[in-house]
Amino acid sequence: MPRSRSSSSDAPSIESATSPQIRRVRAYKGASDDEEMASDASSEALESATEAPPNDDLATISFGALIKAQSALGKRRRRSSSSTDPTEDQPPEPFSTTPHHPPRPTHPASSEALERRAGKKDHRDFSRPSKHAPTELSAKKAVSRKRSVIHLPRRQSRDPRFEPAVGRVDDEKVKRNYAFLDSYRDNEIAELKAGLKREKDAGKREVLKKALTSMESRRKTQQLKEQRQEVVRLHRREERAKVAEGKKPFYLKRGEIKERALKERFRGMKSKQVDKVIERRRKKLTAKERKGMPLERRG
Amino acid sequence: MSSFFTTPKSLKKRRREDATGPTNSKRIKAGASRSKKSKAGKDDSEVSGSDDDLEDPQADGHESSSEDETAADRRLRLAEQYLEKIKGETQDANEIGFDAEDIDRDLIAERLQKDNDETKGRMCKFIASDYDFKAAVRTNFRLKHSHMNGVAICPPYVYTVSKDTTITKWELPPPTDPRRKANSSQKPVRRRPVKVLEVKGDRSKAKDKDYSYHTAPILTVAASSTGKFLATGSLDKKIIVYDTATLKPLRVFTQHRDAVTSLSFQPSTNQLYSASRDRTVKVWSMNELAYVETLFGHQDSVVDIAAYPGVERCLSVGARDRTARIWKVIEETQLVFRGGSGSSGNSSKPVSRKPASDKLGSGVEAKKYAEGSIDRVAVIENDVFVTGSDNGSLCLWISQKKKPVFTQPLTHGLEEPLRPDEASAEVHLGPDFRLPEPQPRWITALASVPLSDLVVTGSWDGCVRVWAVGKEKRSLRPLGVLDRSDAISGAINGNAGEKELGIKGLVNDLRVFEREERGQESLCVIAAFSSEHRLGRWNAGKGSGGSGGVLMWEIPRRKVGRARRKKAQPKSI
Repeated sequence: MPRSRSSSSDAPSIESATSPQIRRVRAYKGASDDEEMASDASSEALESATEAPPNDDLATISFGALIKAQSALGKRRRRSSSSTDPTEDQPPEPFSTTPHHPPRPTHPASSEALERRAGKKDHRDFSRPSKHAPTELSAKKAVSRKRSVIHLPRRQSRDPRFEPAVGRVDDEKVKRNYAFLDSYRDNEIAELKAGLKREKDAGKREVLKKALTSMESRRKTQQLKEQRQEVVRLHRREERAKVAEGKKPFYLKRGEIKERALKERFRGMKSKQVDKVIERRRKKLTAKERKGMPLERRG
Repeated sequence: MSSFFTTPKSLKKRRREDATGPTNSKRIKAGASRSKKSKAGKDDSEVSGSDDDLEDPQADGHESSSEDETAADRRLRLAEQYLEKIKGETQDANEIGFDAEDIDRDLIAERLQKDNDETKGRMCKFIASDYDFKAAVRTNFRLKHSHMNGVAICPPYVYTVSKDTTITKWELPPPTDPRRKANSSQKPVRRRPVKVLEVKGDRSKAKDKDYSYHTAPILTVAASSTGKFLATGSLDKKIIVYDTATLKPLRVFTQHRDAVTSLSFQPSTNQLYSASRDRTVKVWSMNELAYVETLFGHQDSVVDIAAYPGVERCLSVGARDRTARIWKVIEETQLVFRGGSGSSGNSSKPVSRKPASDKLGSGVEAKKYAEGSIDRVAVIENDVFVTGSDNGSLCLWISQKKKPVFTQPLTHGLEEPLRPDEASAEVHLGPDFRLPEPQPRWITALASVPLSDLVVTGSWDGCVRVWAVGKEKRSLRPLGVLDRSDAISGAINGNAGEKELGIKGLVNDLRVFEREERGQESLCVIAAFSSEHRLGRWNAGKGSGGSGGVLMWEIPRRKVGRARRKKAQPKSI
């Protein structure tokens, strides 16, 4: 039957021109056919060895060509090769009778390691003809030993600030709902003051004093904020009435809001208190300005 | 060359037929008789009208044989030689044939088509209906050891491997002479294969690096169709290649990092594919006794591998990753086919819903069993393959679809339900105690005749089941059952209802091939069975009994009439 000696020999003529990746397979197959002719084999081996890239990446040279090159060049090449395992120098197979089975040029483990590393550079992407067709993947990418036995999805955390389902914050509502905390805070300030009076230990006094001052200043800012909001609210109420009549709305400036709040604050105070407040503020501002002066020029 | 086959001259053929007169059952091979070719007077198809053109150049007036160039002359001469050879072979095959078929254009055309299909890897033999499985003759291989894990064939030799690191070479006796069978009324005789060689490894030499035999249970064996090499793989991570004549180890390969679970030679070449528990498939060349490359991709240990005839591709299955992958070695790519659809159901085709055979009751098909792992694979042709899973389902796949086109659920039925004392260690079982449901039997062995439509499966239900792939390659149908009963022992083969006649053990490996020697065609199925699965002792101690062995069935061809019907028109299935 006139069938070819090996079916593989039909393939080379078609495939050889297509891609550089299969070059090494073709070289190997060509080598197998010319095994009997030693001279041709050695020349071919040398040819295929010189075809290898200059950085001598062993993964791209066909194995058959390597063997042939070795046998042609002798032991000198094997010793100079850096990836030889020392145990390879001993005769490894006592049971091989045929002479043309020389020992491996590289350690078996390192050739697989080279293949695994080479597989990482394979960036081919295959597209399926249809969604019913099987997926095509590269056969050179090594698979890690990590297995996910049960796939647990990672917890998705949701920030309510950016969650569209939550909606906008209504400060009034929040303040109304949490108004009970203000009474708690006032109670705590009173307790801290009482505790400070009773406490003798300097260290603990420091701690208490710090807590007290921070709470009090927080309370103060909250009050100031409330005063400002009150001013704005009042103004908005008036404006709404005017708009209902038909006038255009008028918005207060920041400075205007501050002034009105200040007026409101001072209204309830007596003249002594007002003086005190102004004095304190003046001192604070001058102290700030004094800090701005460079050290050399400070008095 | 093609011009010879594309010029049918029907009118001319008819004229020649009338001229030659009465039919001759035999044709004389000599060249002078070419002009006196006698036809059977059957259908004169126009397929290979070229045969006449070749044989009767003088008869055709306008055939330019005299003014041919040397190249065309040479082609002509070679083509004539080839056809002569084929004619001779088909004539020999039909010499003793009692079906009175003449060698005519159809046979030669068929043979040429078959050769073409074989080289291309297309299904060319539709032999499923040709064999009578009820008339199978069973033979035991006489073995001292047990726990057979694998079997490989290279006709007429059979190689078996076992858990105790023994490799045995057997020679099959020649097939029985059907003439003798037809004449005398004597019963068919069981002819045992003869042991030729045996080789055993040593478990104590596990640490010895220079030891050239296996030191752990051998899991798989493969023989090259060229008849020169035998390869075995075992739990000790080694692949050992032997010379078949002497069973001497030629080479030991230690590149695999874990047990080697399966080996397969590419038909008509000396290229070997190996599959291992380290999730890699490695390609080896036996011409140089060397390692070629590694193919990565499986996510779990690769348990079975099969090679494609005609193309440099192989097909492997990972166990619990439930994928079958076709590896295109030259292009360094893989095609991934995903299984694991037991719970979601089979394809919606009505054929798959029908139960397989007598054993399966009607209540069984309602429940679907999830496919946990795909265990075995067999190649049918270039684009078609079958896989067997651990939920008993036999799936038929084509390479254009990522899901199976046909699934035969529960091919070997369900296991017997456990007894309460087996299911629980409690002395007093509570009122809400439920017996666990019976599980389906896995498919532990799967084999096919290369490039044909016959598939055999094995499990531990005591028999080997035979299936046929439908003509349109989209379905599977059951053909028959092989167990330890046969005509010789008095029982009809296939009557596996009687437990004593079932195979006592688990079938670990199957091989099936046709034996065509001098006109006798029979189908040979060889099963290697053991009390344990080759990869693990899941069913040890479950009372499957027996120790193991190798069984062989020879299935004769059916009678003449049916064979002729096959020729006229292929049966639509």
